[in-house]
Amino acid sequence: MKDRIKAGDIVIIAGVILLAVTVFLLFLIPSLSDTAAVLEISCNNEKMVYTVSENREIVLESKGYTLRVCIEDGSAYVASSDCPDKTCVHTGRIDRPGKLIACVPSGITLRIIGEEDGYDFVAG
Amino acid sequence: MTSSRVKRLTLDAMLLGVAMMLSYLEAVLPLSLVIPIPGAKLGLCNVVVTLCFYAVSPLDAGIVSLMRITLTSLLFGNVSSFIFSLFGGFFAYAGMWLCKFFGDKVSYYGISVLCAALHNIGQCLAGSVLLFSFSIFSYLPLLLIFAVAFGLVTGAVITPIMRLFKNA
Repeated sequence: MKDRIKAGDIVIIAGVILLAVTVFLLFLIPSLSDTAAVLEISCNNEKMVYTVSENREIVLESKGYTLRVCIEDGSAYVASSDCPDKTCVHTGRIDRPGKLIACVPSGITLRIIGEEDGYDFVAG
Repeated sequence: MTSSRVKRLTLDAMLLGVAMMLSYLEAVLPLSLVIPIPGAKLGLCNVVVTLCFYAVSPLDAGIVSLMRITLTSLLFGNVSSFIFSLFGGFFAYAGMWLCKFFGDKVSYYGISVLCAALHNIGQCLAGSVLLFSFSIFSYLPLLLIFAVAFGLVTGAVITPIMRLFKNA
């Protein structure tokens, strides 16, 4: 009969809890180091990384265009650019990991990298 | 069609209906209203699938589960929720097969806990595939703890129903 809790059930429950603790520890160890979101700028095939917690202004030059990037209150945006389409300026602020600003004419990309947070939807 | 086949078909259809109703119930009255954990749910559909697995046949349980996921996704969900449910459902079903080999060493409590845990692992895998990132697994420990608690609850639901089923 399968009506009462058996030894096998205890093994399953213990196994699940052990797995939970293991996965928790695996994710805890890297998060002990710095996981704050950072801005990664790719310009002239070079990659630069800035923390977004510090406000600053960066001037980038590539392929004859000049972009002025501002980091402000944990977000980043292109304040001005002399590229023809200005898509990078119009993209606005990026503040979440995975968000990206790309300026095609100058070949400059800005990307926020770091821990992902939040969720988009809940599935059933 | 022999009467036993008619009985089996009717039983499967009825169980599918109940499973869809429970899916709907858990969608309109999510447990996350009470417990602030997104995605935390009792998994009452698993009661029906487990019943079907042991009272009808493993094959029927797989079909009922797949139909339930397809129909509820078509009615209330989207492509993403379908993929999530499919991964979860497949892993839970695999868990039932695994328990079949344990025989009487495990009760419905253990089966439910294992299926709930595997369901969560499957959903995390689906999330990793959709997001191209394993970061969603950081959410797994919490889900697994709830899988133990909710698995025991669904196990407690299955046990008396199964007794009624067997006597019928």
